[in-house]
Amino acid sequence: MTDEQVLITQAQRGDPEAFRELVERSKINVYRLAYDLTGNHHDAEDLSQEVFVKAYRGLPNFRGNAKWSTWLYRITTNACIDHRRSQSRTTMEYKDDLGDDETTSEHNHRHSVLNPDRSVEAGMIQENIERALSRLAPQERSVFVLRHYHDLPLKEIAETMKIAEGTVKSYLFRALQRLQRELAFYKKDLGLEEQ
Amino acid sequence: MMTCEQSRELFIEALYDELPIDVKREFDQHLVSCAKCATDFQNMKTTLKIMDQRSRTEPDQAYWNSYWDRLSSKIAEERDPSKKFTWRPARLPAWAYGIAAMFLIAMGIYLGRTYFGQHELSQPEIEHPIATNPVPLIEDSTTTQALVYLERSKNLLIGFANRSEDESTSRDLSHQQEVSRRLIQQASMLKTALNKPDQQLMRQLILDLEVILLQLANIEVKRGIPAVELVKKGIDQKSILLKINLEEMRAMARRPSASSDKKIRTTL
Ligand SMILES: [Zn+2]
Repeated sequence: MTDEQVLITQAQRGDPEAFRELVERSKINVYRLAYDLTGNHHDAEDLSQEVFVKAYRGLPNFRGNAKWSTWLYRITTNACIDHRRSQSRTTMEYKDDLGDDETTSEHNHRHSVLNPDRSVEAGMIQENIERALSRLAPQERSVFVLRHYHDLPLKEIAETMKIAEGTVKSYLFRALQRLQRELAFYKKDLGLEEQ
Repeated sequence: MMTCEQSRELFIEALYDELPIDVKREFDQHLVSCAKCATDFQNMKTTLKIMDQRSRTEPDQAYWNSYWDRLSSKIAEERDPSKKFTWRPARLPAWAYGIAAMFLIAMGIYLGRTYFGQHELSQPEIEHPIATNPVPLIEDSTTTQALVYLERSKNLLIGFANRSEDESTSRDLSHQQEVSRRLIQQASMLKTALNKPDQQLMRQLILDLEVILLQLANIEVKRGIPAVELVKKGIDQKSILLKINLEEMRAMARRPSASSDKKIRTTL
């Protein structure tokens, strides 16, 4: 039995200190994932706390052979996808089709060209990267963030999101295609591509 | 020989180094011989390099230090009496309530063991009334007194709830009733003193406790077991032990030295 499994068992028996320890160990990763999926601190704070409240409620049903981090990541991903859906009902942030998005790319490019100063430019890159992420559909963003920023192998992403590995790959492929279009103008700016 | 379509299906694994060596060799060979796939693959790689430049704005240490405090408050809020019938989704199957009940009981048993070992509820309760008990000052003497009060109430209720029928002699019960009456007296003072906004959860908890303590104090010995069982049921239904525990965790998390001294102890 690992140290973590011992803590989970103790928490399931009602030991609040064990639950607290589990929270202390995973709060940063859960917060970061929520931040990567929502793009802002306010939502990351709310959602990460919601995740632990859900974990607390779900403790009695947690199976000992499951991985604590996978379980938390699943709760986080689901909470963020739900949150995003409820938001996009009113704002329609992303488009589900993979159609023509030229206008957004042109808009972003104009933004960066207008600010030649390096630090402003760096801020622009961050802004444009966040914007590109926000254009992804919730599932695409989830698989991309889990793979690229949380280093989860495809197999673990499939377990976390309870989808087939092939589906993970196709979401990721679509995510990359969309990001590529959103950020196409940067290749030249950053010297990453020969003209 | 790998086709373009087959090579594209491997893009994702290739980008994240998840291809087995022999497949990777074949994939690389295809890229050497196919300019179209090579360009498309390179473009995706470049996009990932751009995404690598992303940086997160991380919260400061103060944020992390108070994280548990905020969380335990949220968990405690869920158990607030005014919300206790709504926080759980109504469509839960019946067995889920069984599991929840078992969890609460387990929590109560655990608290009983952890905080009080095997000892029975006994004399110290009477010999050290709260008002004369020297208590280390935390950050607010009313909060401290309230925590001591909660601890004593918990002690009493665990002792009461764990009574076996063998030991439920009238002498034990009258002792517990005596403790109960003393606690009720203390409650009236605390209810007035707990007047700050952040003390309202604790005040509500003391009000809840008071109902149970009154019932306990008023059990007529001659009516015997059924009356005792009724009060025990009241303790379970109100999840009162769990609430006390959460309130303590909340108060502890607010203390500056929360990490080094997590449990409050009365001078029993
Ligand atoms: Zn090809």
